[in-house]
Amino acid sequence: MEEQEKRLEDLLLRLERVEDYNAISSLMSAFSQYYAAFDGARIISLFADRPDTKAEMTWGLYKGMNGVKRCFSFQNPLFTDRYGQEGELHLRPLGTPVIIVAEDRQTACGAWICTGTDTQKQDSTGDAIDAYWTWNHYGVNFVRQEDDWKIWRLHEYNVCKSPFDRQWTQEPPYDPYKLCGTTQANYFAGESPQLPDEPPSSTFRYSVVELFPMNRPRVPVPYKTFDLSMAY
Amino acid sequence: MDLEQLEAQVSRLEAEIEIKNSMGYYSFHHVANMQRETIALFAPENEGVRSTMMWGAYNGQEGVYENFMVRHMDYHEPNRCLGVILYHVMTSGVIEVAGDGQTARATWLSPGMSIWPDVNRGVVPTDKDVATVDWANIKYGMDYVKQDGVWYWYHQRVYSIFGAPYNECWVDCPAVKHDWQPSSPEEMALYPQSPRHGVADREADGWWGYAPGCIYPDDYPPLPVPYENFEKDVGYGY
Amino acid sequence: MNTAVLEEMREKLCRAQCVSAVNKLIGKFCQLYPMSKGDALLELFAVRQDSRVEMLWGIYDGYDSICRCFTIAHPKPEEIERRENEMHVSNAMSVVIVPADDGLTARATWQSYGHSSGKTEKRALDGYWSLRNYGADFILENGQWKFWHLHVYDIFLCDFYTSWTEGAEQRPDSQVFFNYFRPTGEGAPDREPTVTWHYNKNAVYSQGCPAVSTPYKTFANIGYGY
Repeated sequence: MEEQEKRLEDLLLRLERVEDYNAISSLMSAFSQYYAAFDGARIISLFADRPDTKAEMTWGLYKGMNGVKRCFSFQNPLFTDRYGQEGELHLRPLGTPVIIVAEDRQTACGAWICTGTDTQKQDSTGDAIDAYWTWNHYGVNFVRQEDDWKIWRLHEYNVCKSPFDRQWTQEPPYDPYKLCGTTQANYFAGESPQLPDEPPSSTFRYSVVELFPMNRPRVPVPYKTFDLSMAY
Repeated sequence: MDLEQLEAQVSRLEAEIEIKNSMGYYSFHHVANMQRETIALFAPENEGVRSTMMWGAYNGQEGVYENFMVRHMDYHEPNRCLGVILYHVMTSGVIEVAGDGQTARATWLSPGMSIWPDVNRGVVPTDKDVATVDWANIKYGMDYVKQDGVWYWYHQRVYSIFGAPYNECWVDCPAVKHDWQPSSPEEMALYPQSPRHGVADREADGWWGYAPGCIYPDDYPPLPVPYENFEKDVGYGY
Repeated sequence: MNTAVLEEMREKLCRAQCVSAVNKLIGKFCQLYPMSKGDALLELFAVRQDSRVEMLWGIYDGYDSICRCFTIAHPKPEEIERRENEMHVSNAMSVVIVPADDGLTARATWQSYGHSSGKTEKRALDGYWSLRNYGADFILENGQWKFWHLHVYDIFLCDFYTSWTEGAEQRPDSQVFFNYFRPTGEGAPDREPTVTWHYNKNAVYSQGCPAVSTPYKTFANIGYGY
């Protein structure tokens, strides 16, 4: 009987990890769907309220929950739009997940490929709108917070953002400062609370004479408990 | 439901997760030309493994190695991988785990891109060269096998939907059968890594690619259906 | 054995199996749809009068109408002439699946990055990028999960050579473009679509998308595609 009870408890733990996988899969998909809908408030609610929470987008790093709130604030033109929502479209469909739940079920790590699009007005008139194919990778740490899974450290890695009619192998050099609508000199000038805390930790630009980078993100593997080497 | 039945049900759910993760590993490894890691997805020391590309089938451990390390390229030989990006994103999976819990089958839709420097194979590109981006939409038919408690790839079969240059719609492109088998001595010399020069064991049976006048094929691949065990089937890509 | 733990296990198992089944239904729908396998598609749906499918051109109410949708409005496998050049592929991505607490229904929303090919009003053969959203309700029928309500939402359908910010399909009256495909006669829908949002330069995305599925106790509303 004791052995049966032990088997049952082990089985329950295994099933809970299956539930964890499903919850995290839906959590990240919800992020993607809310992102497209400019639903900053709901995106923020998906994040863990911790001082070490972060969101590193292709245009820069936002630290802590305050940073996440600044990043996904409805007022942040870098997230929503610069010239009003009309005509703006930012899709981040996610596929090919690798999701690993730690054995202790307190954290999880995931990686996704995004085949997205961006549609941005060039100015406030809305007459000129640019359409882009935007493919990114995501590396995300998740943490359990009061029985719910939350996004802990989200890292969006740029791969390509190419105009609709141009091959992305011929993109100009990636410029996160330009993405923020500023220059490197003004980046930390404090001119806008929507600016990130730091520039992105890595950028990619296609080169015919270089290898496609590995570990961008590092794809998670099974693990017992979280340590900083797994942080995205 | 008794404890054994509960365990079997949980094992099936775990199998689906491992299988989905294995496809994710493949996508990330393949795009970075990490082919040794791709080969490690196949069941080790299992001579029944098979990798069937659009141009041909590669059988057994040697065949899988030939496909990924010779016919494709691995980053340990960086000159062969410069500028090469092969994106295959997995979506819309249908997974069936066998009743006996020892094998599984799945089919996937895979939008993607492939990027190759516009130089002849074997020529190391320079920064004066350009690369062509092709849209690559394909499908996968997969068999999986559980070996020593771990789920591995057993058979992999790649099916074409369309491949088209970045700036030319697939409806305007002729369907080109992917028949990239080196045949002449000059072509074989481009794959010196093995005596086989990347040649498949045999042609892949059945090929389809979108072209004007076509009919989207049925059962290409056939979707997996519930099954008890793998014994009477030869799997995808036979 | 600890009956409380056993009961907890059974509940969790049902939920996990629901998610697995719904994932499979979505995958099957995406893979079968371009094959014109109407009979196989119908097996995915609950045989109920309140089953429903909203396509971009209209709504089919009840299982019998859904049959008409997939076997008359869409070509049968043997209707080779109708199928020639037609290819409509949706890749299901960003899938959110939520089983109800009562274990009787489930809801899902997902995005689709796909493509369409075939005859249009202006050309004998056109290729399009096709980005969509989907919202669906699922129900247990004889112990099997089935589609109950399915709603297809357009984001944009843009000609391969023309950005989605340009092109005739991006007019505010883009529904005219989809109405070209609206079947008539026995394949006609029962009602007009509830959502006719399509991307254009003046559109606001959040007005067109389905509400992301969120946890719920029991199915008390009218579902996607009313």
